[in-house]
Amino acid sequence: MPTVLITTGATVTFRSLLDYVVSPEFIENLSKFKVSRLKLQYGNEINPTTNEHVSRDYFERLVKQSEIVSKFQLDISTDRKSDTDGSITYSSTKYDFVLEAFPFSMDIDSHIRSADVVISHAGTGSIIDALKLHKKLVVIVNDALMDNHQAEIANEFAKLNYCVSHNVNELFGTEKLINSVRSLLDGSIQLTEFPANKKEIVESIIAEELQKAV
Amino acid sequence: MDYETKLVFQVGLLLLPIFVVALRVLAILPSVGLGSSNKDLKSISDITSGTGSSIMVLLGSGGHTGEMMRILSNVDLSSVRRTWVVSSGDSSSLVRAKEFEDKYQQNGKTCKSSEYLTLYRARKVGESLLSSLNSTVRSFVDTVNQLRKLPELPSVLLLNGPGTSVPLAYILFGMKFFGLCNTRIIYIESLARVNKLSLSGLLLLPISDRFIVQWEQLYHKYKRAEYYGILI
Repeated sequence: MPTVLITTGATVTFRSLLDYVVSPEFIENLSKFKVSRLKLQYGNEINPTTNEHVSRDYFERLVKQSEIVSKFQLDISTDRKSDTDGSITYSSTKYDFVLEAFPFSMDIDSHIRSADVVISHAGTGSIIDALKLHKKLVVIVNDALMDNHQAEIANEFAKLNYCVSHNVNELFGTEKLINSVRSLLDGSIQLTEFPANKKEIVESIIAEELQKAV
Repeated sequence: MDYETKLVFQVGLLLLPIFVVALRVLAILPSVGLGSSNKDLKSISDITSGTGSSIMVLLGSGGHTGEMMRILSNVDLSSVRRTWVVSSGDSSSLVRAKEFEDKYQQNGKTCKSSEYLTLYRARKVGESLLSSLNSTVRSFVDTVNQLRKLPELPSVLLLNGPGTSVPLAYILFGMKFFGLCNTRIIYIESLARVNKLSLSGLLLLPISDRFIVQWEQLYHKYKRAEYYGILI
């Protein structure tokens, strides 16, 4: 039973992507393809003056509005160990489906390892984390962000066939995202293996410059 | 002395300081130095006797910090003194730096000390021009004061492109001009920059001793850029 992980970044709440995935249609499509667990990292944006957790409020509002709890007969269990890593689990025995939602994780790698497909926002770190663990990856570009270097890097990686990439705005009213997830799961889309990088080079450059800095 | 000789002396006196300054800038400007041709990989712990012994790492914010910590995850900095620079109010970068340091403490190896520097943030998003000018000046003065409090200025400054890189690097370059330090500047452009350098990158290209990009397109575009593939 496959697991899908969605990462939306930590600093800014990726509202449009959350709008799309926290919906009965998306969840129903997932369970059609036998996805039994959806892990959702929904963001850790905190209002500095009021101290409100913007991302969590937004996510919880979506859960209410979309009425997914009643539609899928979800049981809710909360595990708020701390403010930064508290997760909420919504599970349905009737539909064999679990939604695990958390604001952000200090150990995102273990979540990535547990996933069969990763749907990631277009932040460089997040993309690289998934590729390094050789995960099937769909990158979603946030068109609302001011500087759209995110689109550049997503397109570049898609061109190299390391991942599939979509703009968030082109998802609504279509099944593009679910089709990509399905094609990656059943193997009809084959991605190119991401090459390992040469990290020793940075240590060597620092060492060379330390030697010159006398 | 006739009029002409006097004039020659006056002009000479006027030009002398400009000439001296130009010579000094040329001496410390990385773009006119010879590039290093050493191909062997070195490790920091092997080379630190009798050489520079401290590194300053700037953690910008969100994405920049994320890239920097990924770059450093395979670098052993335990044999040099480390100064982590964060912007005021950026608690998550501070947490990341402390996490990195905790790993050294847990290893139980002998390890050089570290410290944290919090700099006043240069410009906030959506600030008006006047108040952003005001806060730029304030951030400049604040940076100089903070650097003066350090026991020693860094041997190496490692940057990866947030806006705060620029004042910090130019202040240290200015101090190098006056012989107060010999800080080597290493700049690693963000992976998010595929075809064009960031503004910070463009501004820091002339004064960085090593300028590293993570896309081949940029390597072909800028003569001094070095490229080793993706580093994060």
